[in-house]
Amino acid sequence: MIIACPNCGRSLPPEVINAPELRFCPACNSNLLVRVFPANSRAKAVIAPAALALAEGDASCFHHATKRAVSSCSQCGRFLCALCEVDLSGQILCPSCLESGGAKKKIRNLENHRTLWDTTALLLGASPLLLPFPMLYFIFLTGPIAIFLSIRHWKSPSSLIPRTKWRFIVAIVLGLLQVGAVAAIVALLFYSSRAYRPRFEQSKTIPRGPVRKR
Amino acid sequence: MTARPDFPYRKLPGARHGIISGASLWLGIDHILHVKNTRFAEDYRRYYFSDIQAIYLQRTARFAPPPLVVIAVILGLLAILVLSITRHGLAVELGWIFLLFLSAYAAWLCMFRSCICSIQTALGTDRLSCLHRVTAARAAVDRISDHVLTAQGGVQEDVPEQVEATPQPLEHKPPRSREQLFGWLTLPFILLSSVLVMRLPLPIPDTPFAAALGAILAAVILAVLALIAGRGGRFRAVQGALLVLTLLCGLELYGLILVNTYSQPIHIGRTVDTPSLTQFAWAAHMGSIWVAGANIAAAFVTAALLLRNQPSRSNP
Ligand SMILES: [Zn+2]
Ligand SMILES: [Zn+2]
Ligand SMILES: [Zn+2]
Repeated sequence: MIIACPNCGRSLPPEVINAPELRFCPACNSNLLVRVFPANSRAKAVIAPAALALAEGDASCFHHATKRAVSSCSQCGRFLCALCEVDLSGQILCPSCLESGGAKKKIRNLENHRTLWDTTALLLGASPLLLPFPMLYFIFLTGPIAIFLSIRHWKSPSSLIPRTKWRFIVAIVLGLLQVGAVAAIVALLFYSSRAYRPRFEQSKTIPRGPVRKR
Repeated sequence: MTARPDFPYRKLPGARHGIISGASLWLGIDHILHVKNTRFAEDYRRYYFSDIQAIYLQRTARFAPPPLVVIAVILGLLAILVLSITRHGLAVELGWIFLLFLSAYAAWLCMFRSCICSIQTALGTDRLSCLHRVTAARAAVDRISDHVLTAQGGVQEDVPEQVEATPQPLEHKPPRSREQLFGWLTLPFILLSSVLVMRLPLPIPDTPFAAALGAILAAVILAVLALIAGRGGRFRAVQGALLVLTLLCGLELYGLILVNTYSQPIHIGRTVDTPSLTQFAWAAHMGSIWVAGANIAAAFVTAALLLRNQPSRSNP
């Protein structure tokens, strides 16, 4: 493959490639450091037909009866030919185990997405602080959801890279504060309505002045 | 952060911490792991040492915002321009806020981003957005290179010959580069700022102080340009210079709004009510005229450079 300048797309001269320091592209003058590895010039490895030929007394591949087995799947143990085996970080897998393992997230090296429940819970917990006006109406929802997510996903796989639980803890605290605020509002409404009722009845019994005459 | 025993990755230098997304790079046993964090989730990409064909590091102009940001700035300036015609007070307020954000963003850009890194495999070339500082990126590239060379069993010195031996025809049309796109985007901005200056009638300022201050401002701008131009490639220098001008255009625009708002008493033939303020406004006005002149000159230089750097069909 031709090594081209990432800025202008023209092929780079040899003195720029693998130079110890940054060099300028002669075409566009951009300052570059280019590391090229043997994989670039190597042709794509082609499996030689000899490696596939089935000799007398050889075990044959589970999927291809006419091809010689060279290894076995580390999960299901089926014999595999050079075409079928998949080498994944030193682990040999057959195509079906690879597919099911990837689907069930058993093989860490196949996962390419993870949901961060701790950040989601934390953002829900902090939403009334981040978006004060519209989110205040939803604290009766966001608080409990933040607490629920924190407890539900406390042990869920979080990230492939190291991560602590502080977001869950803060989310629970903020969620509890929201629930407390909702409880306080409900209590306030309840007491104020109770305090209002006698006054309302009182105002009905006390006769008004002649202005109220209908 | 210390690695846990069950954790097979080690952190590589370089990370990007954005408001809505971030990225980092981790060194595994037989691959590097690129982690893209979008706050609610993480996306992973693995580059196995045996598959990595090349790594590129491109030093960029320190002022090099993405084209979308430039478009946003242009639209913001247009909005302020429209507001300045109808509602002066509001335009001044918005101008301040806009300038504040613009300068904060520019400061962030000059402080943090200095290179673009990408990795090439048989499937294509991917941008490594976490490697955006030259020092950290070089350290990371060196560490990755060591592992890749061990895995591929090659020595780096014998690669240039192989590359040289291959014919170098340019079959595919090279993609238009970011910097070039950005260069073209700055042109409407420059034209806009020039139009802004031309929009106002240009009465002769009645104070020598204003003209002198304007000249000093222009001299400072030219000094900054010279300083940046001394730092490397010509194209990059002009890119940087244009961004400095972009920032100054914000200032210039603010000066114009200020003039527009407070200059009613000093129309020729009238008395001056608030001398200090109007003098400042006139100084800003004079400065803005100088900046616009420099802008137009820079626009010509950029256009010339862009046309010269247009990738041609024939081989170099
Ligand atoms: Zn180039
Ligand atoms: Zn299997
Ligand atoms: Zn097979």
